[in-house]
Amino acid sequence: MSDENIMNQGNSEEISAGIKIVEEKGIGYTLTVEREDLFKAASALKEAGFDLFLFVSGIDYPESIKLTYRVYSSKRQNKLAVMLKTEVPKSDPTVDSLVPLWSAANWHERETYDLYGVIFKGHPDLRRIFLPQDWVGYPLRKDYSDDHMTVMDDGKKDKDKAAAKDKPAAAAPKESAEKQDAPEQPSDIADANEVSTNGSDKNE
Amino acid sequence: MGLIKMSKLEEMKISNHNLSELEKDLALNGEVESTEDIVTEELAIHFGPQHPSAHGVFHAIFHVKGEVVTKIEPDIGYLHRCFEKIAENRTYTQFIPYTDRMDYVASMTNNWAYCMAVEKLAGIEVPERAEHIRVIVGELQRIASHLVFLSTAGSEAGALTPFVYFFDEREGILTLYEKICGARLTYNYIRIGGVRADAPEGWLDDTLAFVTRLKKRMYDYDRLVLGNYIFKKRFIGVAPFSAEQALDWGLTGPPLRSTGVSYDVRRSDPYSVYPRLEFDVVVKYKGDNYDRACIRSDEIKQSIRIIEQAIEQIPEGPVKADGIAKVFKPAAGEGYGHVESPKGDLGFYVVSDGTTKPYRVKIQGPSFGNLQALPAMSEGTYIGDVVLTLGTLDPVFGEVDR
Amino acid sequence: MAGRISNFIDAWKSIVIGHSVTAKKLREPRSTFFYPYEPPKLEERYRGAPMLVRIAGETDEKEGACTACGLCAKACPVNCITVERNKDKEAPLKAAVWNLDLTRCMICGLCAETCPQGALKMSHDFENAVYVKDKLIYDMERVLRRPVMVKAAEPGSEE
Ligand code: SF4
Ligand code: SF4
Repeated sequence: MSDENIMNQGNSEEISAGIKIVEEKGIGYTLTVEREDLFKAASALKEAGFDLFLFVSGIDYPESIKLTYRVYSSKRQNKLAVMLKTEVPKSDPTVDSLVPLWSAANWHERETYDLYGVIFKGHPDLRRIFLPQDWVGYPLRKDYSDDHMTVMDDGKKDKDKAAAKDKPAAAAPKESAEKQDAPEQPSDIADANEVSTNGSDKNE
Repeated sequence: MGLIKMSKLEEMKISNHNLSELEKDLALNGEVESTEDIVTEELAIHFGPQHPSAHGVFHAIFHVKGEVVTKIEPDIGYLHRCFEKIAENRTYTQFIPYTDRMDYVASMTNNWAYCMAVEKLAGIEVPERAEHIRVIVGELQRIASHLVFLSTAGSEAGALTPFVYFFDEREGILTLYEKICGARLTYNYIRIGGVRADAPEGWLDDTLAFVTRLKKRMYDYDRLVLGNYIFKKRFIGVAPFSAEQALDWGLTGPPLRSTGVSYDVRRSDPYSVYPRLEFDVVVKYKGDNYDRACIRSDEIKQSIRIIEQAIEQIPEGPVKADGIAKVFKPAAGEGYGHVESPKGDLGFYVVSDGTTKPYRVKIQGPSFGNLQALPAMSEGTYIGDVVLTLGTLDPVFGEVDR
Repeated sequence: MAGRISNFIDAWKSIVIGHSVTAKKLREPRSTFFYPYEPPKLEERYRGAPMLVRIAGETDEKEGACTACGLCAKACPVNCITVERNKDKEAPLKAAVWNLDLTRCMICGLCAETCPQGALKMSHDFENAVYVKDKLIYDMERVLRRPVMVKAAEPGSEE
């Protein structure tokens, strides 16, 4: 575990051998693991009484996607909730699915797959959940661009941009900030296709 | 009454319904002599997206065999607006009005959860008076949301009159909200470090008068809806869930508490001034539709208790923390804030990179988690009961899809 | 048989309770109103479409207290306000262009909260339906012409 050598940083507790939760400012108890150890750490948490899965969230960084899980315990007396953190590289965004431990992880992992493109190995039904199955790209990645989509444009956008240039006091158009980023990497699209053909069943 | 092949039914192990009684009834009416020669095929029925009982835009495929649902495939995303992406392109304050549009039946708690997450991130202390006002408006919101639940649950079971009464009561809350923040649905009232404006003169008295009146009326409403013969027949014993199942499927809020797990954020992870207020976490044990409905009525009574105490204790003072710059720029870090919204555990996870805009906002919507359990909960029940089960989970699709 | 009798009694009890509650409700004052014929009672803080407040005492002039600082445009989450300062350096600070795109406005009130002059308020105007969308893009004159229902307050005291 990566946090073995962390000295007593605020409040902490050893859940089981080598798995120690540490209090972090703003978010409470945290456990940071390598992605290979994720399933093992999660099993240890489950055994320690953390039986309610609350969410999984991706955070997009230039090189990697950080995943944050939150689990809650209905049985323990104190230190009731833990943020379980791990990191996957963007070149190979795969991680073990936690559905075998908590059924609740099902939709949450589908959501993270849909919006971040993280592939959860062992997930029973990894399909997009919010967006249509044929959607291209992962919208919550910072480099996502929807230029490939047809946009109705009556010249309004250009006018906004011109107006913003004239007077810096007015707000910069926020829509343009979303669009100026680099286009989607082809490797991600390939990933998406591969998974959606594997994971989806006949009815979409 | 659709006729079903009885042996098949037994195979499907429908524990929720008293089959022998049904069989007796059918035999009594002379409708069925031998159930062996009735054969049904499995049908796939599309439910929604625009169905009045779907509580929004929910699409599901029900696989039915006779009247019994064997499989449900939910399909969500019709109201997806990707607020999490929008948040990354708005300043911290600018995102508050968007949270209103998630769970639009309970906007106030959404505002609150988001502001709490940002306050945790930036380490802001909220003044006492503001905390009390937040508790009052938050509990009013719980009452309003549960009133909507009771009215829709009643109307789904065929009782249309209570619908009007509950909406009339809710109107009182909306008027109170209009007085304090100027809007009736999308409040945008709670601010980072406090609330937008102090309660106007006389507002607290009006609120007290309202809850006192509602307390008296709740007795009537309970008898009218929850005590009703048809309502009981439709709800008792349908789609029961055990505590293990509920935890496994990640239920929160009233559906989880109806199975005997006492998980209420107000007590499990106390925030605001709740530790100082006296109230009970309502817990039921059967976990069926009726418990899920009753728990909300009981929570209304607890909320009334909380409001009374909060109004009694409210101190004078500022309603907004000092020293929050116009251009709000928290240091890089993370914050997680969650409140017990009427639907369950509503959390916001905010990551900052030190600029004026959040780097990431994750919304943990309780409706999303609760809706997930619908297939597990209602496979094996009658198709007419699926709508009730969906109703008792009380999802709001603005929050499911976000 | 006993079950049937108790069912029968339960059912009738529900009906009696239902009727008694309805009878109680009948004696209460009605809580609806006939909207287009009866004006709705709006509370003082009600948020309608944003509007510019005229300078007190100059009601005949189509002029507001706005100094074209542009803070409202910055505060708006959906960018629906466009403010341009007049070009003349000598003249008092006034907005040359002040447009409000009501098709996008979500009546959140953040702009009015930000305005340091107290020049921008949320009006009580909620009947904004039009036949042509273009009419929802208000220029300064249109915004100033809104019925003034809020008194002009001290600068920066939008509460
Ligand atoms: S009310 Fe809100 S959306 Fe409308 S102009 Fe003001 S800030 Fe913009
Ligand atoms: S903030 Fe007030 S003074 Fe500044 S441009 Fe807007 S309306 Fe005018």
